[in-house]
Amino acid sequence: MERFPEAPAPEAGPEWDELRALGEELQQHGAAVPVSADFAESLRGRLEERPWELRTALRERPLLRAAAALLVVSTIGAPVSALVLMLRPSPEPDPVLSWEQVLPPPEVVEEHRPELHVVPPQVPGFEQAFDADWEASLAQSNRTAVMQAQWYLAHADAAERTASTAPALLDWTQATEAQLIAEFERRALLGLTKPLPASLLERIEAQLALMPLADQAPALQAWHWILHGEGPPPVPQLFR
Amino acid sequence: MEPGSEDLLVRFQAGDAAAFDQLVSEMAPRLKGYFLRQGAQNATAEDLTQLVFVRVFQARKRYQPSGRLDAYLLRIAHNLWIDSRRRKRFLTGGDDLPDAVDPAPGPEADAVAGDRAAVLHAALERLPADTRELLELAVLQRLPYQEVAEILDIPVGTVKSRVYYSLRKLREHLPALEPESDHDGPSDGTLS
Repeated sequence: MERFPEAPAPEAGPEWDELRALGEELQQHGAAVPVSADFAESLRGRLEERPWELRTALRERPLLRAAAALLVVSTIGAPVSALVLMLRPSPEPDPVLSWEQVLPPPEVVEEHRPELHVVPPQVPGFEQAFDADWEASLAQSNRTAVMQAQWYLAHADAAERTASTAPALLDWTQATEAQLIAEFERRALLGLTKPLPASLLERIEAQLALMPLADQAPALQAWHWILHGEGPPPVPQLFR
Repeated sequence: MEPGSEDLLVRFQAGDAAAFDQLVSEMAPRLKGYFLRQGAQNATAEDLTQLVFVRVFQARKRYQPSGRLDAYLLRIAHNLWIDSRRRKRFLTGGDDLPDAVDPAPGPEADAVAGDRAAVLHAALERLPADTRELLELAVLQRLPYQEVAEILDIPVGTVKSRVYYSLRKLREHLPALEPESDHDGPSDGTLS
């Protein structure tokens, strides 16, 4: 679109007169253009055409009527159905969702008691295959397994409460001897004897050596048996 | 159609069927000229002219006289022309293509032949669309500036200044369209 100058046109002047004359000449040559001969007749035909009306169209066209009915039903049907379902009393009470803890029956718990993973000290055909240290280590491992099984039998009902999974004593060099023994027992119960440093084991053994066998705590008796194979083997009553 | 004259549509509303025929016979040539000069071809111009009267006929019960009747019809024509161009742009994917070319010779051909009216119309055809419509309404259709301002939705003062500049632009196009013989004499731009 071409922009017109912003300045207002002059009110009067010779140029205005010339332009006005040009405009008048333009007017003289006429704004009218003759219409065709059948213009009036054609126009009359268009005027007589009935304008499209929904009511008339519905009355005269069955297909349009069916489409309109379908449209109305589908438009109104959904909200009306929802309203009816909302107002109608439900034939069944609403389900109550709850959670019930299911515990395994006692016989299942019984079946899942730990097995004793005791390796026989002598395997037929391999009697001389391993050295004495290995056999001593194997015997100690077996005694640990027996002790753990006994401990489990004693504490089966409250195993989770008894066995602490807290980290091991951090700075054992600063601990008292009683703390060391308790820590050793705790680690043993958790099956953590292997990572014990050699110096710690030495201190524990020294502590155990100072105590008469009868005065040792029942658990320490068990560990004495584990470490050295001395004393009575542990029984479940030892841990109670 | 001038102010003060009896409104033909009012007479038609009152039941005078002949008034509508009179309105058609008076206004149809002017409306056709309007559409033709806006760029419509003959068939399109007649169709749009008929459509103006169809609209007037359909709205006859709601019609209330205010202003000139020819301005009322030209306002309808203006709106129909805009709708027509918009529909055409939509159908052609945004291109404002002209109508099918009329086989009859155009104003430029007539201008070469020396027809003064054709010269003026050819110059008019060279103007931009908005300039052409302004001159059409204000000069050729002789509508008051107030009516032109309402149809084109611009202030009355703007109509006046734009008529001035549009006539100047029209005059600039004339020398190139004048036949050779007219260029021989002195020309100071005076057309009267």
